[in-house]
Amino acid sequence: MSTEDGPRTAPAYPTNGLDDTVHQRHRLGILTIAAESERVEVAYLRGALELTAGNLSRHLTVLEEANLIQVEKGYHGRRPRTWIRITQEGRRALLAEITALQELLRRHGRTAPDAETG
Amino acid sequence: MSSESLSPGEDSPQELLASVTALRRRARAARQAYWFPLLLFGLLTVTAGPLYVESTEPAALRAGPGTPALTGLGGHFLEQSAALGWYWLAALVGGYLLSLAWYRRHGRRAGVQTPTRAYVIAGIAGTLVGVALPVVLEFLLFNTAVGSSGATRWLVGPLLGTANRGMLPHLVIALGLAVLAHLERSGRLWIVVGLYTAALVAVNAWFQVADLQPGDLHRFSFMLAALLPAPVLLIGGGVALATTKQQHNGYA
Repeated sequence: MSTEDGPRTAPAYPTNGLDDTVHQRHRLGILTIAAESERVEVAYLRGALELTAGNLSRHLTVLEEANLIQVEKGYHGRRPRTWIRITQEGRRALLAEITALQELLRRHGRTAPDAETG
Repeated sequence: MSSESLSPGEDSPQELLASVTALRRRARAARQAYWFPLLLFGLLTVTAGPLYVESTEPAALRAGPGTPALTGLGGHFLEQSAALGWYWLAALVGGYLLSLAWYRRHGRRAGVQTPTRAYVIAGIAGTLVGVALPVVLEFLLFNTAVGSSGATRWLVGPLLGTANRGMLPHLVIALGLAVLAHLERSGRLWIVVGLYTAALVAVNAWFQVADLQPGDLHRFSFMLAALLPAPVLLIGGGVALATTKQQHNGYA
């Protein structure tokens, strides 16, 4: 789970910086796309992440309950549309996750040759 | 098992980061739509061209009616400064509002929206500053009580020259596009903004450093100066449109 430390402070073990809510591949994808835009439509997420409506809805519920995204429902003409907006907390969580992943990758790159010789 | 190991079947950090990069790139390509404001402001500049043309009548013989306060964007050197001021006021405000409508429409169609509020605010605020700036610059330069110091005179003088040639609107466009490049996170748009600004600075620097004598300028000089940066926007917009279509076909 994420620590109280900011993303710039590398934890002793980078896995400590991973948040189960964010770390899941599809939820990480949802937050990444949402952070890239002001808001993103559910139909776009479904196509980009190649998820079924049910699967995507489950991941969105997890993220919404964690207050990482906001769900906005509306209409375009007569068609109902659902938009996702990332929250400040969501942005922080995403940054922390990516920082932890990069740190993990950096450490693995550093320790891999030792593991092979050992 | 080390605490840094991953569970079997779990995505590796490398895979996750690669996936994040690919999704980010795809979303960015889907939401970017800056070709429209580039072409729009390029065309608005070209359309303004005739208002920069001077008549053959000597400037000293022209009637010099006072220009309304809202026409500050048209400058004072030109025969049709007032008309140019009104044109640019409407073109800039309309251009930014049209860009906003364009981005809203594009966002609805693409399913990914670019945050454009800061772009429109910068554009409208820049327009209003552009309307008032000539008055402030004249006050700073000519009011002996205030008297701009040597440190600021190098900026005030050339900026007033730019304003008087009716080229403040170009600066307002550059400002808006710079904010848009930041919001779009587009290196290509930054390049267009850089080239456009460089053309703008070069044209105005030429007027500043050239030791112009009466008769050196012909009736199309101000028009050529005003139109010179426009191709940067038109070519940049055209290339961006072609790239967008290519990407769209690639994802389709």
